[in-house]
Amino acid sequence: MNDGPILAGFPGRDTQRVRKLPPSLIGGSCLLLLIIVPALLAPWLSAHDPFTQNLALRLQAPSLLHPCGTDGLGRDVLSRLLYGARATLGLVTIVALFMVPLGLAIGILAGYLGGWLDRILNAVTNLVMAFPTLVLALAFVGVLGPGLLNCALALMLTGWPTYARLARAQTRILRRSDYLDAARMQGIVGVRLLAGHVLPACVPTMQVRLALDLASIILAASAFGFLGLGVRPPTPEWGAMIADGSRVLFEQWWIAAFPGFLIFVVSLAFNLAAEGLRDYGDPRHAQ
Amino acid sequence: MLSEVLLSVSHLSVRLADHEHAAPIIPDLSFDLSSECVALVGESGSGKSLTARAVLGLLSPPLVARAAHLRLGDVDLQRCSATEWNGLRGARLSLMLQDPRVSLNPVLSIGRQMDMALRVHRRLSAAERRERIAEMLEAVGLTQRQRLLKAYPHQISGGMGQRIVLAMMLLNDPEVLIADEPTSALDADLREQVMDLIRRHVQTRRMGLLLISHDLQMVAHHADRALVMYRGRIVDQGPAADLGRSSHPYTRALWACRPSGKTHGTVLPVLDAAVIEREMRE
Amino acid sequence: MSAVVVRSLTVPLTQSGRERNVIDALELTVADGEIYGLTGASGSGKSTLLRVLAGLNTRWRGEVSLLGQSLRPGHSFDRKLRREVQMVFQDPAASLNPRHTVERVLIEPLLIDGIARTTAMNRVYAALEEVGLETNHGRRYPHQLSGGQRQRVAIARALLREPRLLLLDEPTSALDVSVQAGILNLLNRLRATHDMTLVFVSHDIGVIAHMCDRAALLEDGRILRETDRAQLELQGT
Repeated sequence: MNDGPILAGFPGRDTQRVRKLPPSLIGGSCLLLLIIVPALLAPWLSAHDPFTQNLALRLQAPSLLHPCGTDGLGRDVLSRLLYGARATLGLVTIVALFMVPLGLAIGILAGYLGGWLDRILNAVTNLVMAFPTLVLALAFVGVLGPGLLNCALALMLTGWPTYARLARAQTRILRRSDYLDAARMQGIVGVRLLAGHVLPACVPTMQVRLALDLASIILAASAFGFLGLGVRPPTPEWGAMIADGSRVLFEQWWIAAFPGFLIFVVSLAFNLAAEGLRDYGDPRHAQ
Repeated sequence: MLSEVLLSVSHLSVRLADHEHAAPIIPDLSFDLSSECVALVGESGSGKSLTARAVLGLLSPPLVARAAHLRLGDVDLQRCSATEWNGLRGARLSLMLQDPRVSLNPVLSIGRQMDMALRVHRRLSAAERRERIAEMLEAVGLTQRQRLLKAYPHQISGGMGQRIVLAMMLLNDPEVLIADEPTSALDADLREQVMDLIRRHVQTRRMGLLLISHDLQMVAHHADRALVMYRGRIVDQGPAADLGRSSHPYTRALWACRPSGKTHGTVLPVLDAAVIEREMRE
Repeated sequence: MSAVVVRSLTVPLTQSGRERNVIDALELTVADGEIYGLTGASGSGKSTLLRVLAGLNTRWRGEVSLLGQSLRPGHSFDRKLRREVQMVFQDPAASLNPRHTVERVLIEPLLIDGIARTTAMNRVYAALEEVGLETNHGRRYPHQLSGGQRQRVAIARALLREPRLLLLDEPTSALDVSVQAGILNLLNRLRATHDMTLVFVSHDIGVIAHMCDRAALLEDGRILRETDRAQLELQGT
């Protein structure tokens, strides 16, 4: 039952002109900018120094002077939020930037070439996946030492298998597709084939998966902070702030609630942007 | 002599819900189906599949159907609720699609699916159901019943799959069967067999068969009446056997553009929409 | 000279643990410049045979010679043969990368060959015109074209390589009969103006009878019967 051609002439279906940006992409990006820009401008936007302690003013509820209140050491929460954004978002960016391409490369190679290479890569993937992510990451950090970069490295090295699996599955499906065969017949082989024809088909699933993963990456980072293995205090970081605030959650809710809320907003923004990006990238979904 | 009208479609229109001012996809379609085989013939985009969907209440939004009346026997299909439709589809009005892999549930065994089809619509004991299923499988020419009932759809061939679908569609003794390209996915030699089977059952049960097809030659061979559709309209109708002799320009062009040994070395006539529409206006 | 010579071709396939021969000791000769048809039920091996001739399936035993060149099992085609043997696939929607415009699809192999962009674009436009499409079709994506238009793009893609052997795997099975007529006319026209041999797979006897000089009926991986033009005249009505 095909009603394709008969609907082809109707308005809204002809997408020959410049494709409209989907609202989800616009919304998600705006939300992200709303957080990224203040984070970048933190030194100029924060009224207080995030490191200055003032024990007389500790655990104060949100007020005009301190819109997000103060924490256990009298530091202004808002300023710490602004500065903390850099640490959190920085970590997330670094992890995503390396984890996804690594997983993609391994997955596509394994899926396309098959044979013994596939078996080896599969074994490695399964090995890494078999460990609970956090435990393995903690082991890495234990060996490498604490710090933001080491956290990022640890999360990267434990996070790529999911993407490799997805890419491999997608590549195996594509391997027998007519359009890949057609490309091969045209003499398109090797890296060009993988990068130009296989990779673009794998990317949409990656985007969606990444958006879902980002929130867990942020939480994993906060777990590190909680255990004292992440960003070293007194450097502000959202996850660590939640850890600090969780101890006084019911009396001084603002210390954990604000960073928690921001993590939620960032995750939402990533989800929206990723969905919009996927819709924009696939010409068939464009409206 | 024809019996009563089983399915009556009067002034059916199908349009996009939010484009009231735009031309409807199907402007005005009317036909009746008694216990005979009526074929809707046309190319893709002609609206024949949409018509079937509209009759079955299966149009997905934003498509919306309206008709002066749409009746299955005495039931007003336009006034049916979702529950009432569930009671009708599969029991009084059945649909057979092109690809058995699409019609059959891939995760259930054949036996299980056929059993479910019976349980949904009838109150029969397990033994009665088994008997009915066995009866139907034999009626469509399938032996090795035990093996088939335990098998899954991906384990059977296309021809067998269509026979099973046919058996399932006839389980509850429907009045009307709508078959949408039932043989297009089959090899040439199987097509005749399956089509013959469908016709035979429809005739013995005095059912109405609405056959949707793009294959003029097959329709001419198997249907009683043919309705030729073009761009949402019925442009030609008459006895199916006379399709090859029709005087309508579109039907003639559609009949003539088929390749064969005799057309070797010639340029096949191609449907020129402008020419056809001009000839149709005259 | 024969465009295609096949002797004792056997193609094994391992399916659910069992091994069977999809093609079994097949013998075939296609003369230079003719249109040769392959027909048979599904599972008869016709598509597999075509894929072997296309170099997409290299797991076979026997002797295969294309355009005078002997093939070695397990090895892909060299660059020259890769250009000279082209294929048009069955499903026009599936054989075109949905994320690439028509222009990109057509121009990519030319650029890989090192042809300058302007020259390449001119050839692309010429090819589009030759298959009955317009320049603005080049800027569209496959899903914005009709089935017949997509198949014309697939044919243009094959033509741009200047093939001497064109393999067609059910090129019109997914199309309406009137659109099919247009594509068959196009193929006949191209065969007259280009120096090509065609191997045409179809389950439709009428199409085979219309297009082909000779045809073979395959069953269970072997050629059951070969028909010549005189016999084909009587088929398909």
